[in-house]
Amino acid sequence: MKISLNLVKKFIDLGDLPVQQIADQVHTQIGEVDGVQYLGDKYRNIIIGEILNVQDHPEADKLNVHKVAISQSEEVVVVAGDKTLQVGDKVAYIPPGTVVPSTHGTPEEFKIAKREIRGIESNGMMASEAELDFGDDHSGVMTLPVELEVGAQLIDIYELDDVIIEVDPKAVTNRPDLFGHLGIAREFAGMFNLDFSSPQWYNQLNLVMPDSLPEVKIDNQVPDHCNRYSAITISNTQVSKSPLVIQSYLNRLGVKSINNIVDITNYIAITTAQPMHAYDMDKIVAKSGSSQIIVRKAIEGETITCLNDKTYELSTEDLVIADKSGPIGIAGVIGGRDTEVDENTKTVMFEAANFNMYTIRRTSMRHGIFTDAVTRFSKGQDPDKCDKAITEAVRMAEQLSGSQVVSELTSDYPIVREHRTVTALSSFINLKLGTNLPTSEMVNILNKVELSTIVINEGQEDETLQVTVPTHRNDIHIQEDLSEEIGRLHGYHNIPLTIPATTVAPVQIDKMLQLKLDISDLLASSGANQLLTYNFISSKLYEKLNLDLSNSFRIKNSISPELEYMRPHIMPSLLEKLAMNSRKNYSRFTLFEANKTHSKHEMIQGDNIPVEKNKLAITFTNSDKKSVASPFYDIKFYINQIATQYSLDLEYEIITPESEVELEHDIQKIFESNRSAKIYAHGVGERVLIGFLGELSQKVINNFKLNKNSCAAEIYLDELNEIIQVKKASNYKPVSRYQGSSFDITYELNLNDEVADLLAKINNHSIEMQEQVKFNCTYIFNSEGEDIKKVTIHFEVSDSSQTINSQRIQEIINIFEKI
Amino acid sequence: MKFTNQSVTDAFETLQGHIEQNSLDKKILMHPVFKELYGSLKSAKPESKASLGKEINELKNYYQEQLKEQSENQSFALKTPIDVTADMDLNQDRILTSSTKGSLHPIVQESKKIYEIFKGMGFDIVESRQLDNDYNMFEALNFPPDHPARGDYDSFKTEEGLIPPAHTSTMQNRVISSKPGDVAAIIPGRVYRNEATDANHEHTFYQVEGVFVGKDISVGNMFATFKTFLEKYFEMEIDTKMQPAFFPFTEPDIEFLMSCPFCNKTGCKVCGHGGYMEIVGCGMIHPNVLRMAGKDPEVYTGFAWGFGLDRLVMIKNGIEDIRHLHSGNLDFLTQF
Repeated sequence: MKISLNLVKKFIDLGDLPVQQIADQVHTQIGEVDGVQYLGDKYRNIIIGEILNVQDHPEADKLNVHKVAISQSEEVVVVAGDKTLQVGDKVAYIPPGTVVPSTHGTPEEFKIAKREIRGIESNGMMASEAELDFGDDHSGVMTLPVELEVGAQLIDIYELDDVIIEVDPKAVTNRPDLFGHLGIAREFAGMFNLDFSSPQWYNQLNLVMPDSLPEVKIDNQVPDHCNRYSAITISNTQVSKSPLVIQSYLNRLGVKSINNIVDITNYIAITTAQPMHAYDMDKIVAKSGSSQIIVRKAIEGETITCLNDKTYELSTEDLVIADKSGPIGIAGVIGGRDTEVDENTKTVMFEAANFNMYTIRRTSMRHGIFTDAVTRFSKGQDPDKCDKAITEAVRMAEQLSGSQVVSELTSDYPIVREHRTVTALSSFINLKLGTNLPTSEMVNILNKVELSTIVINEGQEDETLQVTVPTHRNDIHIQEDLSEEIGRLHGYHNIPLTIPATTVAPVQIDKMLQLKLDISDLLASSGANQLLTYNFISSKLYEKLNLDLSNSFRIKNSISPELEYMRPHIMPSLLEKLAMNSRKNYSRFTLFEANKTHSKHEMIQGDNIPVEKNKLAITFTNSDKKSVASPFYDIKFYINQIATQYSLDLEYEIITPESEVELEHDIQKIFESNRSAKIYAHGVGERVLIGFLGELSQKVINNFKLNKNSCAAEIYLDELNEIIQVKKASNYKPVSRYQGSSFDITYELNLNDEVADLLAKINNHSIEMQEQVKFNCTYIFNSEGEDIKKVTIHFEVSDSSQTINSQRIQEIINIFEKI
Repeated sequence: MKFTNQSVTDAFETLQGHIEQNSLDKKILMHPVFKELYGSLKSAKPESKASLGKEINELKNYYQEQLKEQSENQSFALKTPIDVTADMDLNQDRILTSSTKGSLHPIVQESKKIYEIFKGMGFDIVESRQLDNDYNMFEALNFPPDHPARGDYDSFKTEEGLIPPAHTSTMQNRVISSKPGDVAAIIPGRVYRNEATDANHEHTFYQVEGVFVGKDISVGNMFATFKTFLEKYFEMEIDTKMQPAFFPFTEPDIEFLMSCPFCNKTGCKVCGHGGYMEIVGCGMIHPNVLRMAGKDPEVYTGFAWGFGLDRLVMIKNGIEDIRHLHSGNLDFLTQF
């Protein structure tokens, strides 16, 4: 959204406010400033010149040599390619050393220099419309009105000593009035404490018209979508170019100048924020045999060719302005080509209407049409100002095109928008802002921006502001809106900072979040690297792993097939990263991620959203091909770390080719049979499945081109958390003051026997002893070809009441040896 | 296998006999019969040369295929069971762990610092959801059903109409209604926007939402809370600025700017030479939002905010490309 300070100044006296202060306050009180452009810099030194003499260039057919007066006493010679210039023409002369305006501030700045063209020295340049950035016309030198004084500065004549402030429109989506300079001027009055009132033509209608003119025939069939439709017809119109000053204003605000009639509608839009449209009424009558204007929904499949030369196929969702033969415009979006105003137009119908902002926005999105009218209408304009806009447009048309009014100003306005009254205790405002403003100051602030305010119960405790909200401020409905208005215009930076009193209740932290953080710390300190990968995954990845996605959520507007589903597991995402990092120079590494997963297996009733399952995936790889031990034990190391940290009682059940796979737990399929396990934890009740670990299957290793020593684990954190949260009685035993003993026993087991069984037996015996026994497995030996394994268990025995004598030690050893 | 050339048929029989006695391995391709066959090719009659050559190649290919199949079968063969209850393999001296330096993800590292600061200021911590419904994402936040502001959020949608949230505000209603009376909580989480990815834009990023609801809470309280947080986080004094913004769920709506911690407002690359950085979008919670969360707006007021975590992490560490954060690249991760 561009603001021209010169245009603002047509409505308010800004005095000598420095530009920097204006820009700073626009930033802190209206919205983020994207840029400040000093337009004057672009046009300085450009002078009005008059052609005194025109001659053919002796050496070049396509060039003329011009003698140009640039002041009362100075003449220069300028060679130019425009053969149409005549003696007496006024031109914009760019002297040597000056940059061509259209290139100003671009990477290709073009600075005019004295230079010889085919043997004749040319002194400067006569600018085209495009070179001056007044329009698109680059066909020849732009001629200026003859009455201009030779030697005058272009900048003074066309009010070019201007500053353009560009504001991020996102900050003001709820302020439709700020999309016009009149609204900006009103806002400045509040921001800078200046006097302001809206111009007379805006405050009261004063259109003087001859009696007994016919009405414009308007048939509004969609009052729900078209809150107001106003129109007037003018005739005897002379369509021509607009005065340069208007062209220049439109251009500096990014609007293309077309002709005087179209330019008037756009000029009204940049001042009042009310979009307008002009139709050639003669074309409507010729085309449809009637001057009837219809506002209706489009007929399914109906087409219209618009001003942008594109043809659109419409649906019943779109609104059109139509004549009896068909649509002549997409309402509030863009006009039709068949009825556009051109140089031959004599009779013009001006339209100023008000359409439902959502309808306009949807049509714009559906057809991809983004016009200034859409920008303004989709913020929700004030229907009250339609007639005001038309009145001013008619005044301009009378002046600029010699038009005469030939119809009544006709308006279909089914539901008139009324002023609203909003009240707020002044104490409420101060409480909400944390300020101590006197009521008089609040009243002043609101009145400055034409929020007409009176005080009720003045001087009393319940002193109240009663604000009459004009129709153009549809953003103010409740007392909180008044607090915003006062806070913003008073300046947020003027509000004193006070720390709020904190609550005394103890701070509560999401237990699952805490668990994820703690486990992450533990794994990172054990040499693992934490990853964050996307929730979005491809069906290709899951097919590659033969994993099911039928219960996963599919994103219907995904960016690409790579990001199509919400992941039900973490591990597949890590496998891709494992493969990627394996190709780099890391010999052994561990990756992990603790995050949420989603599937339809378990839904929250009522909300219809899934229970989010928190999972931890860990994966380890070792590029050393000579390693013979199973990497199963490398990944188990990390699970043991977690088990120790949380005193978990875990049970491992081997996955065999016969193991069943449940759909919800099909991650089991990525593991190699006989070399992987299900993990169960013991809580208060039955054992709970908390995940899987093991070697990755040969197929996965081949498909992902992984090292053969690659392994993984996926842990179900919610189930784990439930067990961890159960408060356990402390295991503390008094520290023994007596020396204990230690010894090793090596047991012989069948190769297929599980160490866990041995440890369980040892545990059963040790519980029965009065001494404390600690034990752990330190080595498992197997000679190649033998079907037994030798398991060495290290024991530490102590007694808290005495030193254990050697006889008792021997007894204990004997007990354990016989297991 | 059937061959027309007698010499090839003979060779095939010889080779099959060899396999029966010895078993199939790579040596079969080196068997002398191949040398003999290639030798016979030189002396063969011109008219039978082509057919002979073709069949010799077929024979060789046949064994190559056999070998390939065998090796695949071997690799998928059932492996010997291990003892999953043990902590080590047979004859294993030590467990191999990672040879890289372990690391927490930088986003998680910074989150932890932020949690600590807010914990000290009396805020609860609740993690945000990663898939939510329209009610929490928009309706409970005072977005009218047709409001264009919904469109500004460019959110993803599942076929069922669920939304990977575009902002952590999706938790506001739940958190504010979660307990009676005052509420002070921060809500960190992942959020998603349907937009093209480049060095500064990601479809997946992180926000930290905050809500503070109580009696007589003011805009001044809100500013003071952020300023305190930012000064603790950056461990320095900072200046602040505010600019108006628009969010349907707050009134007033404000964008909170902080003086650049790297250049002391003189302007540098980090702050885009402006001396200030937009850091937090915030505002006083709209009475409709409070009401929908079961808090009487006549009694309670409060403020809410959301800030992007990725940007803070990038600023603090001088990370040049947001895409590194989800790259899973160890070259990046091991630096933290």
